[in-house]
Amino acid sequence: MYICPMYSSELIKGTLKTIVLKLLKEQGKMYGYEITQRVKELTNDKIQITEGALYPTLHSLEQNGELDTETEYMGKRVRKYYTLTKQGHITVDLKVNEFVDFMNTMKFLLDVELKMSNVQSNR
Amino acid sequence: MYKVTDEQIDFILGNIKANGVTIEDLQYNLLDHICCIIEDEMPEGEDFYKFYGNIMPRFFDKELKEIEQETNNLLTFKNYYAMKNTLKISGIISSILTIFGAIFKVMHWPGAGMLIVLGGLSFSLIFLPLMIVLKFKDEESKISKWVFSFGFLLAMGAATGTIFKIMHWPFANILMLGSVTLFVFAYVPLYYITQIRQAESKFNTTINAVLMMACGGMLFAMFNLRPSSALQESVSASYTFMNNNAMELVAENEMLLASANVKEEANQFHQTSKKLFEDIEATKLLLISKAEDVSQEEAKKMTLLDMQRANDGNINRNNFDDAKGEHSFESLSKSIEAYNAQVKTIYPTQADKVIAIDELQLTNTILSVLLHELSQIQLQIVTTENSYLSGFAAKPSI
Repeated sequence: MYICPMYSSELIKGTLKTIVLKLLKEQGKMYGYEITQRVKELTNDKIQITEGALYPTLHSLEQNGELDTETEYMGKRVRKYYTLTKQGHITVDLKVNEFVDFMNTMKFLLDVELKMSNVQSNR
Repeated sequence: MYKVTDEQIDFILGNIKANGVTIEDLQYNLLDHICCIIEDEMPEGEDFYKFYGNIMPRFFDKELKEIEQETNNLLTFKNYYAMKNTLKISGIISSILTIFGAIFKVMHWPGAGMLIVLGGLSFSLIFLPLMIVLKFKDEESKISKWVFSFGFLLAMGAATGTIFKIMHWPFANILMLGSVTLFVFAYVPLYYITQIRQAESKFNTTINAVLMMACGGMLFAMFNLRPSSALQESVSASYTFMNNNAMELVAENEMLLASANVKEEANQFHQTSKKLFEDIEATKLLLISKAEDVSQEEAKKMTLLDMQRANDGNINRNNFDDAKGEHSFESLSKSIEAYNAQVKTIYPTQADKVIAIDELQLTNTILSVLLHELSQIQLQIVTTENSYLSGFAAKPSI
């Protein structure tokens, strides 16, 4: 379901919420299509969020009280803008910090592994 | 820039709905998203419907409905892990409470009922419903889903029934018996038939089915368990003996009364005693005839052993305990109080002649116990009357 030319879907799966929340914190209010385009733009097409993953995530964040919505009527079309709630603002920081910490841990972990494999190959 | 027309919007929305997306919010989100893609990305001169057909597969692997299912999954099972934790905790708590409750019950320590009820409630109202929900989420096969949920539902019924039984609440029997019967005769065969097909778990299925059948069958066999027949015979014999004694004393009292030495005041007490005695006799006959569905004449000849529903508590609960008017516990208590008042004037010092109604098990019991207690009261009435009349008879006449 996650089409991403650069990274495997397992890699993106756990980070979608963090990406969405962080983007909304910076941009204020956004609608679905805008979010996918913005991520694509910012990552030089490396990360492409699919609709099949984005909307379920947006809906569940909304129900959990992380997001508020504003609806804009454009003729027959309805556009839903998402903004962070108070709780959402707190969650962004938690999520981002958690992920930075995770990245550092991974870096450390993989670094060690890398050295060990180097040692072995040097023998 | 291309602009999507109203007609095309109707087409897209119709197509989204036709593909099984029912959440309105999601429909409009997708609609706007698709319109954006078309307006942004459709090359000049491209046919709208062709382009639409090309971009749709972006949204799903197999079908559009997946988005809705994924949304529902996230919404419904956002608490999935919390539920699993609750399941574990409630399971451990119910086991501990039930085991301690059972130990307390065997040792006759206080608080046993409370422990068992709490354990049973957390088992049947938290653990098992959660099991059903989680099984529905986890189990792949549709048939297994329903079969297991059916089993858990029956387990809920049986557990609740057991608690009701222990607490003497209504509908306990129907809950327990219904659940266990369905369990043994419907669930176990169903489980066996549906699960035996899976080759890898064939052995386990057989063992589980046999274990469930054995446990369920034994529970089922215990339902109509009564006290041992020797005990029942002895209880019935003592009941009959008591009644015969009472009748002999009644006859003797009549003879004493007939003798010339007895005065007017003695006759008065005799009337009170006789009325209470006959009241109780009528109550007994009424209860027996109701319980066994026979006439009062036939009821008179019945022993406890002849009765089918001597161990049932419903007849006396409905017709005696909670009843109003004649032949109810309420009216009997009043008559006994009046009788006691008269006894106290005759025997001011002998408290044991008074009928201690509080010490008797008259309400909230089974029919045979109630009949026993009533006969005991009758026996006491005629014994007291007998010693009273004998006192008169011993005095020389003036």
